[in-house]
Amino acid sequence: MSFLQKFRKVVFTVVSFSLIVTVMDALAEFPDRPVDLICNYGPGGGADQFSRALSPILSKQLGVKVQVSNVTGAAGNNGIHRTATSKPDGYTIGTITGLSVSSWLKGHGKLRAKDMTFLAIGQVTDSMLFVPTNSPYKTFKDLLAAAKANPDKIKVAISGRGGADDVTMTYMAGKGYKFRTVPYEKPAERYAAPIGGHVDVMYEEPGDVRQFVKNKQIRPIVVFSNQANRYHPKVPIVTDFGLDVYFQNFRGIITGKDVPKAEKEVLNKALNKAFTSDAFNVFCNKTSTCTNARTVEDSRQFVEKYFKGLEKYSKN
Amino acid sequence: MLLDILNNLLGGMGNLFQLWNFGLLALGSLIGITAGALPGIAFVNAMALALPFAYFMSPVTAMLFLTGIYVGGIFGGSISSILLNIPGSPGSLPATWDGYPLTKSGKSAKALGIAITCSAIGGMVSAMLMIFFSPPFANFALTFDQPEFFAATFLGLVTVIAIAKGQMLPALASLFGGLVFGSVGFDFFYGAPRLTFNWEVLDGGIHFVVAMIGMFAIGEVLYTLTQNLKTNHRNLKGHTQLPRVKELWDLKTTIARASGIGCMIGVIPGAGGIVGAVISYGVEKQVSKRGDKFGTGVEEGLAAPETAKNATTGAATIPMLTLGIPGSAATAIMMAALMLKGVNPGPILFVQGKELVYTVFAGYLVANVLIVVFGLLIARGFSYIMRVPPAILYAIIIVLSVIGAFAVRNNIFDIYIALAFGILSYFMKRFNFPTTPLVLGLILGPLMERFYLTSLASYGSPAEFLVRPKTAIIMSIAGLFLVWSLWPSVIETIRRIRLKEK
Amino acid sequence: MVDAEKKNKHFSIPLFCLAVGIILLTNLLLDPVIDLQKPQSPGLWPIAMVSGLLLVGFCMLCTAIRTQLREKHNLLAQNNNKQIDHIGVKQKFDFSQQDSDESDHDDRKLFLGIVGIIAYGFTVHYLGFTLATVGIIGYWLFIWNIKSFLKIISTSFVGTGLILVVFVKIGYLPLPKGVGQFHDFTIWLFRTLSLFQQS
Repeated sequence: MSFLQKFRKVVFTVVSFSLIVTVMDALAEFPDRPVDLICNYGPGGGADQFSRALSPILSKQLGVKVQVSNVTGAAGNNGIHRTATSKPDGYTIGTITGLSVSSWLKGHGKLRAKDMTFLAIGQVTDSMLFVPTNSPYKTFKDLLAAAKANPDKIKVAISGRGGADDVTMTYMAGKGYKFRTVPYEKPAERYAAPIGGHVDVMYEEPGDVRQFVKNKQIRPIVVFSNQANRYHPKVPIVTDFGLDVYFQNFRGIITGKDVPKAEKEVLNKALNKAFTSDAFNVFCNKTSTCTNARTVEDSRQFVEKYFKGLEKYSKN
Repeated sequence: MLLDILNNLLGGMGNLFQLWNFGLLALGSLIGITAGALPGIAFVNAMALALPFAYFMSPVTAMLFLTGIYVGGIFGGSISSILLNIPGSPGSLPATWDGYPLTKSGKSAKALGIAITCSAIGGMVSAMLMIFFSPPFANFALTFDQPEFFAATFLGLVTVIAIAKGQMLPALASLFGGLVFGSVGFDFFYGAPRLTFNWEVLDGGIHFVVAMIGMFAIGEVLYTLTQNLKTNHRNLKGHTQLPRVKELWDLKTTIARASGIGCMIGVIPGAGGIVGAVISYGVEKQVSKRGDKFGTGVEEGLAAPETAKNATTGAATIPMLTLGIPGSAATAIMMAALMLKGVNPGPILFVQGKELVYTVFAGYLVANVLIVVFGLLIARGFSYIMRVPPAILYAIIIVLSVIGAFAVRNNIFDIYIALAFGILSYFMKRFNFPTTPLVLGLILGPLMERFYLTSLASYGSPAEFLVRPKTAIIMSIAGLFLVWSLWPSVIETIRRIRLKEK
Repeated sequence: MVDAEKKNKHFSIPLFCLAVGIILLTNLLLDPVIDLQKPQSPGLWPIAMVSGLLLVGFCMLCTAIRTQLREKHNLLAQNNNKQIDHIGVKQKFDFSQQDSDESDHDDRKLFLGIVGIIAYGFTVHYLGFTLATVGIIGYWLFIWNIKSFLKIISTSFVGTGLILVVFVKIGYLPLPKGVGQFHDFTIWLFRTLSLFQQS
């Protein structure tokens, strides 16, 4: 037998095997092998904590292992791309966050909301401004007055240009409160900045800095929302000061847009069950991020509303 | 403070002697010494290959595993230096100068004994320095803002060049190559893609771990493939005889000097074991009474570089842990292992991650004790180790590097990047271009850019770097280094001009 | 011959650096994304670094020209070897691990090695990690002059198997599964070898 013949035989065997496999796959009930959960940010961050908390709970709901892997880079778009373009069999799901959606405004990533299916939203959180505990600015009113008196003097730590935090601060500058925004890319450095006295204010979500709030190193001064935050009801809301700007950060789960409807439904149900389970509630209460169950359609609308709002404000 | 440190260290020891932690430290040590002893696989290569395994360990365990390889590997090279006259790792080159002559005169057991004990002692001294110096320094570094971090990173880059001395231009070319590679991809301020040639896959930038795996694993495999390496391993006598206390006592001044030099060199970014060992050998040659006999098998000539190269280990880890600025390839790999597990080294780590830090400290101490145990074992089995068919070893190395590169971001494109860097490093090595500056440029460049831009956004003008007291001090040290490294070429030029005038 | 090669080497590397630098610099300056007017412009840093590379390339070129001119005037003399020596060790170390001797390199093997490595990179994507790995281990043993068919086959299969157990079963790495039919094959294989974790 010549080499070519041998090769053909091998290829033939492989192909026929895989045909059988495909047929078997179609017959088996979804899911019957591990599901990959792609986290679009690196270990240690908020998205990673979210996926690690979700994985065992979802695993119980689906009856198969849910394996987390971090596909990072390009403001989270690498992970989104991987999830949305992998084989549409429902075995690959992935995280998406408000930060990566806001990066689309800057032209990052090729895929947009229409190129993927939003299965569910797991975490929704308001953002807040934090000041060091010993800050001279006792209230948000003090801070606004100081910003008006000394434009471009008061430093605010943000995560980067063009995100929801930057858009918010630009909006406030338009209203006459001009802050100096200092982007700190690494979260650890951003948290250290107000504590070390390198900046006056920090824009963050409360869940990520809860230990510093608990240690009384920083305190929230205002919440960007039109209603009181359920975890910090005493913190004043920004709309009371005539500022109409509030973006909620969120973390959700997506999959490819060509995944069959039946699989989508199975995943949506399992995810909603997981997100409303007691085990997950422990996590989301700790991070002040609990939210309600949403259908696939609701989740899509939620994300699109977020994106459109951001787009509107950044154009102004 | 001192009591605090000792207390924490005790806790670290307790952590270390848990089954998994200690087991992996010991395994790392074994792998390190073996890899170090095998010509063609330096400990850095072994560390790069260990990364994929570190992905599924806890951060503490991964660090201990890598510590074992690092400390063991930097010693291991001396076994083949002494027995075969081939340095197993670059740092062991000076061990061939006085170690192999000892073997030739039939004293290989004694030479191995000296190498083992001196390495262990040097390593211990360095570990002590790290344990007692890092926490106060980290405390001090807590007050650093972005300009200070920028200055510290800048100092790191300058010393990389200063160390290169005779090879200034190639080292500079390599460094700037790394800096250019490091600026590929989105900038972190605006997210604008740079130097990507509209190629989406480059948007995320070139991850330094991927490049390092390519350079230190794949490049090495290619190099060995084309070398047709032939080693003869007849009459290898790996018996060892540890020196008696009196013999060691005679070497006490040598060991003290070499430990000091090793620790100092270790802190300097870009230097590493080889520089420490060679400088220590040079100093010893001048100071020792038997200096003129160096090269013929003098104990001091072996003890000095052996002590010094292991004395660089702990010291080199200080800037990585306290500032998050690695100064050598080995510590960069350790930092990568931490970062891939979501732990960010830096002053905050000494507040938030005390347990990890002190367990690693304990690991360094114990790893140096393990050198003695495993050093004896591996020296004895060395002739068997040399019989492992290299083809299989290198085939597995390629597969492991591909896994390692992939697992950094679970990205297939990173495999291509690693392979490309492997081929690049082969040619750099062939044309005698140092690869370490490139790696450090790739790591430190993005850090420096970030620190620089954030400083500007925060303080408004670059003058801030010279006005802030801490920054000014660090910058002037960097300036001194620069002058010191340029001095020889200045003198050279002056001399040449005078020659012409005559 | 060797001398000619060395001279050539002296010129080719600086020229290479300069060429790369100029290409990158034009790319940067022509890129509309890099707006130097913006505060903290994204182009600032890369332009500085590429300029640095250009400068080094230029210096290396000058040195190479100077060396050659001096060679011509027979002025090279002893200068070349007389490095400033602070510590009594004369240039016994540099950053490269061994002094490479040009004649030692087997370029045929280098070519085969590079081809194999590149092929591995691409097949990992299309055939999936498993098949590609069996292939590369076999290929590598083959070019390393191991000609026993049995040895090659057994090593590549056993090696691949071990790696799969460690990284798929224990390490949960989502290694590339391949495209199309090969994807299905990998799934079948993993299922058959019970490499999938069950919860």
